[in-house]
Amino acid sequence: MEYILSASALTKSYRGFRALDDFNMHIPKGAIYGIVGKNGAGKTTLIRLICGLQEPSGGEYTLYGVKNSNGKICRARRRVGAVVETPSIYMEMNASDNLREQYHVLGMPSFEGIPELLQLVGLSDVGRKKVKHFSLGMKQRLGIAIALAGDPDFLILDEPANGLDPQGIVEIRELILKLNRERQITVLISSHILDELSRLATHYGFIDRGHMVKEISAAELEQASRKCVRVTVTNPQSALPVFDGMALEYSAVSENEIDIFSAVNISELVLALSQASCQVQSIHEREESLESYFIDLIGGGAHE
Amino acid sequence: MSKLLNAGFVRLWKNKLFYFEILIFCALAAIACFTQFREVRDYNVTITLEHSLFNCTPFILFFAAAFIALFTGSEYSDGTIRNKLIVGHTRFDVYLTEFIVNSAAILIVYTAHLLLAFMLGLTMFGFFTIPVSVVLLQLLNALFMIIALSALFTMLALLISSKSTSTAICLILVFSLFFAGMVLNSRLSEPEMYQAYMLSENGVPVMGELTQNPLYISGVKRQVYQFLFDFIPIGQAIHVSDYTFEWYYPLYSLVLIAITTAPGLWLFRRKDIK
Repeated sequence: MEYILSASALTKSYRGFRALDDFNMHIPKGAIYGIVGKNGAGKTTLIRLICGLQEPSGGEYTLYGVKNSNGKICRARRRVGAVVETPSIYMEMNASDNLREQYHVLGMPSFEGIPELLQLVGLSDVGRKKVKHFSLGMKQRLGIAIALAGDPDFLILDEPANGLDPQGIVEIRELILKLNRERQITVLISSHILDELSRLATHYGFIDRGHMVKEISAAELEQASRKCVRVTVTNPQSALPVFDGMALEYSAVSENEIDIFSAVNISELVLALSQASCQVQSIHEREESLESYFIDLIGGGAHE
Repeated sequence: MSKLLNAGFVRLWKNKLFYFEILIFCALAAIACFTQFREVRDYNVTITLEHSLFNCTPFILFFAAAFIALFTGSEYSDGTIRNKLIVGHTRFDVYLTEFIVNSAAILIVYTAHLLLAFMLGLTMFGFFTIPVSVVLLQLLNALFMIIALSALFTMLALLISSKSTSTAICLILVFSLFFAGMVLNSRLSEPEMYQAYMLSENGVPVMGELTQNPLYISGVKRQVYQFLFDFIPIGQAIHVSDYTFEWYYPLYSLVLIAITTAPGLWLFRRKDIK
């Protein structure tokens, strides 16, 4: 498999604190790689290192096959666009001038692509309005437009949905999917909104305390995710012995809700519960979410 | 680096603070010229073009500190310095670009001021009464002094990530330099001997003997004071306005450029940018 970015034993220390510690990572070409971790897990530190904003304390990473210690890494970075934490934009300029400035930084010969970029991110009608008067969502979109200015093959987005309204989140999601599908741009995205990330990502990296805990593709995650039947009952105390009697694997998720992971005959279950004076209020099949997978993986004893 | 320079100058031409500084420094030139013209008219003093031309040079320190701290500081406060590094520009190029653009900006502000002072002075006081070569030497000294100032403030603005902190530090440094310059100049201007006066019995003052001035500094201490005054930018600015020139003044500026830019670059290349 061809990797756009791979990291090996990457370490970053800040005055004795290891924000990244022996970190390994592999981002396949064409992937939307979602990086998932708690606050302070090291997601933004990783992005800062990849973007060349900070130097690793140890280990190495390879971008387009070029090691970070190689002088040619700067050339490899020309194929990268990124929005790190907050959008990097001149507040005193308007959207178009910000893009022109980035075109100058990139040494692009013409500004022909600017209207198309503004249209792509939904900012074609902002006119001469200064960026400082933009909403957070508009700034975020302009930040993405600037990241796209050099037609990058690899887009890095750090919490792109931060501060966006639901409509804005949907628009950013559609934009990322469009860029990935139509322009074959590989995307590295970190987000706290796991539900949103699960609608986008083709690959996941779970990070905790500076370590990569697990890398998994969306397809593998789906296979690994445990399906269950969630039953809402009136009397859990009498339901649990019934489950035990039927040798079912289950887990109580709330006062009246129980997830059953074993294959179960619904008719037999309802009948058995009824005989135990327990009414079934609802029953539906559900799949383990990215969130629960993350909590199982990171929140377990080994990582606490 | 040409791409960064191009981008830097495009940003400069769109920067309001830059035009505001030109306006204010030109206004200062006009005020100084008209004030001198009134003195000529009302008190019949002799003022020539060379007197009016470099009068306000020491004030360029304030303009340089404020402009560089705010202009370069915006790269951090707006986060745009990241855009340059992410797309593969080296820190060396980013640093030198900031230095060159800042130097050019302050030189333009100063040149606009000089041009207006020259035109007004020429109209009010006539042409130079000293050889033009002497004026050109002051211009040369001012050029080096301004580049040294830009190197100093660029270093501070690029090494301090907070725009407000770097602005405060640059301005405090300028005030400190002004104060230090005044103290050094005052001590160096003290005469070695002074004439004592005594009152005679009938109350008429009579000249006494020449007395050693206790405030006069001599020997190594004087050399150190003189070196410091010649070395710091405010001292050089005062030299420009006073028409004093030594061959080593530009050399001092070059040393200041080297001792600010070399460690500035070294530290900037190792700086963690957020």
